[in-house]
Amino acid sequence: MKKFGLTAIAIAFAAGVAGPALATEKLNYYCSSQEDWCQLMARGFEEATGIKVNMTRRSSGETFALIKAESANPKGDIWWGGTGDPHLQAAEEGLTEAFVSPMRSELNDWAIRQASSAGDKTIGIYSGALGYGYNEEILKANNLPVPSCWKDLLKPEYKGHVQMANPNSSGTAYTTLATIVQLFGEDEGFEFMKGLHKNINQYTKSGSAPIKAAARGENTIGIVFMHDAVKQAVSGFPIKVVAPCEGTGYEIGSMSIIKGARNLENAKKFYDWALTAAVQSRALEVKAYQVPANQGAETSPSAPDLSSIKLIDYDFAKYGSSDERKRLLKKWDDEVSVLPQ
Amino acid sequence: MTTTADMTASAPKGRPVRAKLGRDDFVMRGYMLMIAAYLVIALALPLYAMLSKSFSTYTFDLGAYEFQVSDEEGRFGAPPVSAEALNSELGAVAPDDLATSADGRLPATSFFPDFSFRSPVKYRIRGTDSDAVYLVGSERRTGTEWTELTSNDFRRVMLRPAAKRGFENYVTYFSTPALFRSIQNSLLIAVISTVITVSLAFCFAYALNRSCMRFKGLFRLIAVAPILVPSLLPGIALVYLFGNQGMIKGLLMGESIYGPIGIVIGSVFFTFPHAMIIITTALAIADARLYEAAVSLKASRWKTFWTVTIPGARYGLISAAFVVFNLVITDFGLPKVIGGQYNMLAVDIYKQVIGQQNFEMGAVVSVVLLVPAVIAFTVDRIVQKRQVALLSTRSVPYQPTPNSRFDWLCFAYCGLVAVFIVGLLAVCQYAALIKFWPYDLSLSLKNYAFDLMDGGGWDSYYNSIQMALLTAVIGTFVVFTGAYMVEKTRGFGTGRALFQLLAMLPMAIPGMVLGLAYIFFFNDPDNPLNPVYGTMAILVICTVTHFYTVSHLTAVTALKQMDTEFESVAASLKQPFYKLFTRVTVPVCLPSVLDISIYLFVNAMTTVSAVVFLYSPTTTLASVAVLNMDDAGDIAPAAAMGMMIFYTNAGARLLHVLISKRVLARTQAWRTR
Repeated sequence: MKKFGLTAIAIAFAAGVAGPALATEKLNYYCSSQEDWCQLMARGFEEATGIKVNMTRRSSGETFALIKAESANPKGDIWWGGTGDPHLQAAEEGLTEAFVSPMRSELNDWAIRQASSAGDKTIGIYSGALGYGYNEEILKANNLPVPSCWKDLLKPEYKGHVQMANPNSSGTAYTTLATIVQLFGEDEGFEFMKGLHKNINQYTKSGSAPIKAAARGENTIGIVFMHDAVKQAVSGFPIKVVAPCEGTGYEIGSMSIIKGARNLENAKKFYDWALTAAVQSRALEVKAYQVPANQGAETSPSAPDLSSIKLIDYDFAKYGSSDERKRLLKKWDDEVSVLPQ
Repeated sequence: MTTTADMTASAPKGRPVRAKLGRDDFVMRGYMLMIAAYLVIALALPLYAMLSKSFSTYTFDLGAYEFQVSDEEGRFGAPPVSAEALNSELGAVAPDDLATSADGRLPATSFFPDFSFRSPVKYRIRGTDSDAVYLVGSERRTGTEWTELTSNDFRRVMLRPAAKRGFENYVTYFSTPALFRSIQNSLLIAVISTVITVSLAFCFAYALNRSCMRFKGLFRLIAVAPILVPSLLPGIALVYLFGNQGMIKGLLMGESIYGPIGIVIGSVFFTFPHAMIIITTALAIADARLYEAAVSLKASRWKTFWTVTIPGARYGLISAAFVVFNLVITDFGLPKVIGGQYNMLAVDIYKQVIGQQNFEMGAVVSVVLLVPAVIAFTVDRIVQKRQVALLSTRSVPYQPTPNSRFDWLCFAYCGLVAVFIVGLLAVCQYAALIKFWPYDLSLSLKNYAFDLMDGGGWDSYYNSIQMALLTAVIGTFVVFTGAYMVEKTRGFGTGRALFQLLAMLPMAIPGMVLGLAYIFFFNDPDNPLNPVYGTMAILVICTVTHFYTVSHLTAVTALKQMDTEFESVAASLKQPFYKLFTRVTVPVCLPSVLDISIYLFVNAMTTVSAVVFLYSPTTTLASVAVLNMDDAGDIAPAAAMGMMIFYTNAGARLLHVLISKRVLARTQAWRTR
């Protein structure tokens, strides 16, 4: 390996031109969305610009930790995808670079609001509402009523039929916790989580795992982002998607340029490119049914229509801050997760 | 060991020869020390780092900070006040909340209830001793000098906790009911699995050794197959068989496979070969004279079984029981996959560290897990030593006689076990090949498109092969040369005893614990070995260390068979030790060398527990990919990757057999006279 590397360098030097060209024409791309979407973006950008993309895929929480750990000597250039909270946190801690893209005029309001709340250090690229999905066949087989509200999930007949991710490891599940707290108030919200706990069959590590399990029929109801549930329904599984009647929270998937990026120009190129309508429309190729930030991007008829869903006024600044997050998670750990089921 | 030492002591006339050998001895001792240093760095120091981490507690020491607040014009007239004084006045932070974790942060503004970042008031902060640490934004500051800040900057001041040593973490652990329950769960599951596995394995080994049934070779082959797959693979198969959509779910009669039942069945699967091999060895050394005596005393078969067979195999049984117990209680993959909400110790470590980034608590759980592991290991070592003492030179090997009813019974039983083992593997392969159980049963290879899933894609498979090959080659070299030095070095008794002790240690350390200890040790920025962290090298080091003991014992056994005369002859021919080593020792011990390398290869392919904390995005591994894909809900691709590991290991085993045969024909001809 080492020998090969040395030879490669030797050849590059001998060629003379290859060295500097290699140094500029690349982009270190941190991606926190689903694997196939990440790859689509990486390949698409390579094809469009000829810039070599080195992709690293990790969850948004892990990527945030990585960028923080590397802040003295940044290895990444751009961070695309994943829930907005860690992006906001990175902006708060000065780990990302402010940038105003000429593409802004084409974007939805919520995408730009995300940018202005963080001093232009991040921007919304897609949005998705929280909800749940259930497996129609399993529900019928167990003679269970059809749920339509958050509070329905507390019914004792659903015992062992509900799955959600662990809020400590999953951004989706943390959004659920924060949504419930904002919807019902903190005290009643935690009573809700305790009631829900009785019906939970497993807290998974990954946010979308509950609905995948429901699609397989291993689980009945999965609390996830609605676009994840839609993906399973479109793939042909007997999954029905529910927008809870009380209203629900949402996430704004975000993108940030990493401070000290070594390929800053390429990162900016990617930033503009990723916000175009044509690129955002390609999300459908990988069955990503989030609402795109670009108003001109195509959406699928099966995608949840955010305008028809009762959305709460999600306080991203408060619930995205690390202190509040830690406090809620600790409370959940201490008061909910330890209860007998 | 003592014999060689005595020999040198009582051979004063050997002096002129020893003068020539002196350099060799020196080199050998030096080399032995090098390997010992490796074990210290790769094992003892990380464990020490982990142990000290488990005693680290972090609290905000409010007495260590002083503030001074200016008036509206920015003049500092008021006397400095300590944070402690402010807090006792305001009660801003409850005493309980002063305990925090390693990355705890306390905003300095908590002590100033009427703080506003727009106010023209300025603030000063300093430590009362030089150890007090605080952050301004993300910049770390210490010292007793005043830092003056505008109110807009002061809102970004965070106090950092001071590290102390104490038992607080353990107190927290034992007072958290959910965590404490894991101990009971782990013990219960381990005991049940041990009883079942040892009983099943005993019957199987009994059939193999004491009956004249057919297809013994095939049964033996099938019985060891579970060694070739990661421990979490049976979990995946059980989901397909008994899950909510399971093929034969009805057999569970309404019980859920997610939880204790699933963990026990899966544990039996993956520990079966280990128990079977140990008990087979114990049964194989039966003395036929005892059975002849029993027959002549007209004892019934039943009575003979209880008074001759069982006592003869008792050490094997005890040893098998402790090995199985240890494997189950330290396994993490299986309960992760099929445990549902049933908490086990090993999973708790993972949850604390990966899920909550609570490294101190992870270290505490590790220490708790070490206790049963070390006890089991110690008992096993004592028992195994006795087993060897049971052999005598006058023993007559027992030969089973045909008995058609008994042989058929054995055949039927072994057939059932074989169906269980092959069945679980077949289910995994089937799951990997169909589109989507249970809705679309058409065959497809889409589950092999690993690049589209979490877990690192096909790269993780190639990484695993690279890691396994490196582990096999480097590990075999280190282990075998290390064992040679410790066996053949003359004198130096204490050093050698210490080395033996170090070499036995890895077996007592659960993989999760080792992996976590590596984080603490290698990820410390002050450690000069820090660059190793996140590379392939640390994975290889960790795996070699994790599986060191068994390899070392294999090497020592092989080396003990070689008389020390070889060394004496070489010495009198004035040949240096390395010539003897490469021209005689290695060729003679080649079967064992090959055994060690295949053992290391197979285990490097399947191991999850230690490396799960240590892989980086560029060094993802196939076994970890199985775990991560299952975790993300992509269970069919997880099964597909698991089976790739199985075929790779099976292929490696086959290659090992073929090479062994050819090599044996060339180098071991002297054995057959």
